[in-house]
Amino acid sequence: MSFAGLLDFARKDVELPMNSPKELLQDLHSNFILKYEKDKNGYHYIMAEHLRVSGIYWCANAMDLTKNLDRMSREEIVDYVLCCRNSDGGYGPAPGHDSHLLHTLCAVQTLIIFDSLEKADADSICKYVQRLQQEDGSFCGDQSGEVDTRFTLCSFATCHLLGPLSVLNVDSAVRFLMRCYNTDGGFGTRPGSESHSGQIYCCVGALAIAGRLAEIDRDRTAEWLAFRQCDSGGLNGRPEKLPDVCYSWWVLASLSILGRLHFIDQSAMKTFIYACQDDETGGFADRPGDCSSFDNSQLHELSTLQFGVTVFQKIL
Amino acid sequence: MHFVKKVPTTEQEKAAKAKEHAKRSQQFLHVRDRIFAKRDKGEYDDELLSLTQGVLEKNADIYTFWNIRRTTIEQRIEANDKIQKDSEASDEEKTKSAQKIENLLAGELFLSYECIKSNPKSYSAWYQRAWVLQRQTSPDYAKELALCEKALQMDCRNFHCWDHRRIVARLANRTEQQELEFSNRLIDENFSNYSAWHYRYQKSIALQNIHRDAATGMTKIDDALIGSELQKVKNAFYMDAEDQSAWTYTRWLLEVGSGKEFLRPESSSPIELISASFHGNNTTLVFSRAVTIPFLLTFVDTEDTTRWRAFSSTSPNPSSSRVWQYLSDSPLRVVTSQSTDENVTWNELTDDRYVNKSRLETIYDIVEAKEPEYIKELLEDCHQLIQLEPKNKWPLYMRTLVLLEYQPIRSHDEIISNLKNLAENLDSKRAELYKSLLSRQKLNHSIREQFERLIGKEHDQLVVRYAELTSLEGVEFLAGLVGNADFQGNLLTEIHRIVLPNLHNLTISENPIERLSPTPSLSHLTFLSIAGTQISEVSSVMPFFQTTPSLDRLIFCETPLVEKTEELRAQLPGVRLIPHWL
Repeated sequence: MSFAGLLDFARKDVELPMNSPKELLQDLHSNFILKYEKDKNGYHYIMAEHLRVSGIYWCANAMDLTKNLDRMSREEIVDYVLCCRNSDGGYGPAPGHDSHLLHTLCAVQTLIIFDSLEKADADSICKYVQRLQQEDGSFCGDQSGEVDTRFTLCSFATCHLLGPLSVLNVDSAVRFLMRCYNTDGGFGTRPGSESHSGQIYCCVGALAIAGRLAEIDRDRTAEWLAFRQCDSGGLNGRPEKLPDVCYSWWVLASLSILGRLHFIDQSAMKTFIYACQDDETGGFADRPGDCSSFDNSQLHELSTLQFGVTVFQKIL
Repeated sequence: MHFVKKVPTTEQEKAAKAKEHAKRSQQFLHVRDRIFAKRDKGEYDDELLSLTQGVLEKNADIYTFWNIRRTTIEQRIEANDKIQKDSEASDEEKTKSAQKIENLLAGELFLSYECIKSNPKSYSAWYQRAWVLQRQTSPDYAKELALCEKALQMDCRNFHCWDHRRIVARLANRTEQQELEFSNRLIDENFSNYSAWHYRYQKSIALQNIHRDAATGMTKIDDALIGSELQKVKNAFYMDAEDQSAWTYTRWLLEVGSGKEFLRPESSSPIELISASFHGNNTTLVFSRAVTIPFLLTFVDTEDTTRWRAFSSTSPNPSSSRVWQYLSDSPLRVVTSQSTDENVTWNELTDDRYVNKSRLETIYDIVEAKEPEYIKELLEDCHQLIQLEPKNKWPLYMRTLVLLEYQPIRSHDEIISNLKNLAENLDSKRAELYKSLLSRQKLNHSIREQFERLIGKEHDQLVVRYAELTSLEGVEFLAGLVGNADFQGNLLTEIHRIVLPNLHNLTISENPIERLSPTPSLSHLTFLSIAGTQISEVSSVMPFFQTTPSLDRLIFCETPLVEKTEELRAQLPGVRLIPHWL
């Protein structure tokens, strides 16, 4: 084999197995979620406590989008989410855990899905978010002081859902986002950080909420995202990485916000996502042939499942 | 789970695992309750540190437990500060107390190291390291940099580690040159390391070789540096012409001194007014980049913020935009040049409009930029690679990008044929991306032909017919100059993203359009031709007509809509409908 041939061999992509699923297995996925929800004494449920409110949101969102929400225990879930509220106004992932913007947003989104937002104290949530904004416009995710553009999206989305975005300093927040904007068209976690699909989603989403998308070169950002599509049809998160279902969401949602979904081959991508489904248990693997339920990773599977379903119900 | 292959398990294995799981989850619950109980009582002691450590070693992502550890340590740092300031404390006591803190912090580095070993992508564990380094009296940066290198050897793309390295390099006052050499080493080890190339471009930016042109305000990198960087990156793309890292870096080198409209934060030209014009009921301002109200107020003689309207292709109600209208029957006075704070030129706009001709010339490639030496070489290299690997999209794409940048007029035909080749043969997955570049090239080509007429006062008509336009992105720079646009015979599927808010006449005949969505920027439209489009239902156009209250003539000949003329007439009573050619 020639050197170039060897490189082609090593090229980061996967092949789709012949016998992989060719349609969306909605019922299997709903059952997968319900099984997880019911198994509260299960190892996976207990050990993923530090992500639980986010997990609840992923499940509820997938069930809502597949019109299966009434199969979930609404009151129990709403009560649980409300119990995760802390005295600082924010929400943790489970009772006892510290508040975090990630879980605060998921709590708000879950309450909205279950039509129970009036049970939350919008004012104290917004104040909690407000306090996490830094001098340079960035946001810390929690009391730890960790700054990341993910948290700008959480803040914008939370306040946008609860009331006027203007409780935050939008101008300085956008200035910070623009410092994280790279010449390849992407965005990173902080100024100087490498572009990453997930981070692009957060920044593009935040700019869209603020009505300030015109400040970036949408074609350039969309081009970087379009090159995330591999020959298999799947999307990766960064150049020269393997495709992964969760990036279907980050990349597609970003392209959709930018009005450039047509920059990629949507039918090849659908085939890839279908092939990632587990046709025995339900759920999605990251890529065809990988496992959809393994040890500590069930929450990861739930997020992947939610992404897969959301892509189909909301974007394509 | 990432990279976990599905394997069959036996019943026996399943039972053993269930038992193990039950034990582990019970242990976790027990320790968790103990930790929360102690925290709630304020017992931030050694036991709490040891309990949280035990859990974090198994799962580093439980950020609340890291918070608890930091609170505990901060309390001790505070206590130590008191001892150090206490005049009654002995030197020995002071040394001992300070040493305890250093030991504690060193212990955190060890714990987070263990956590990173088992989970190199744990946000919390990496964060803890940066937190500790900023609290140690004399942190061992050399050791920390070595740790980063080790982690990058395991996974050269670990962005958590790269982010951490950026922090450490800053804390350790590493020079940009040192970090550039570091990126050199990593690239030499593996040229397909996008992260290392990314790091490199930032270090190159930070080096002295980039300067700001005093006259234009544009950043410019030395041609010599670009030349030498191109030599380096050339090795990479000759080694593997499929690798995106090298091509992305090449593209940056290509564009770093460019005056084109890629909105790069660090190298973009300053925001300029492109045009200011009065249209009877509004003053329209067009800027080279999107601006917000506070910024545009610095250009005008009003402080009123309520009568501004912005237009954008991505949002119905944007807060920032290149195109703004001030709604008023009298024109605004506009600042059209400002060389110093005192030396301001005001333009009344009463009988003339302001047009920034030179900026428009750059935007629409009216003239070609002077070609640096290294560009010839780059074009030649791409050409050779195309011969060697005719099926590889990258060299052809890069060559086309270079031509777009430096020879948009001379090489127009080659640009078009390359983009078609990419869309149809070499990279059909991204066909629409190449078509959008082709569309913009043809738009520029067409605008070039009518440029003098467009910027003159006599005409306000833009005609871009049969030009394979898939998008109207880019026409917005003409928003103050164009009132009459004809896009007949293109490939447009929608027009709601159009940003030409002063249009009164619009022809979009013979485009593959099936429906018209609400288009707030066309509120002044009086004439519209949709002849030869594929619009068939009244319901698929009515939302649009609700946003065009001034419309008085509509041509829809040769559309399926002709059969619905009566239905349409009922919905649009004041509009003269023209379903058939005379």
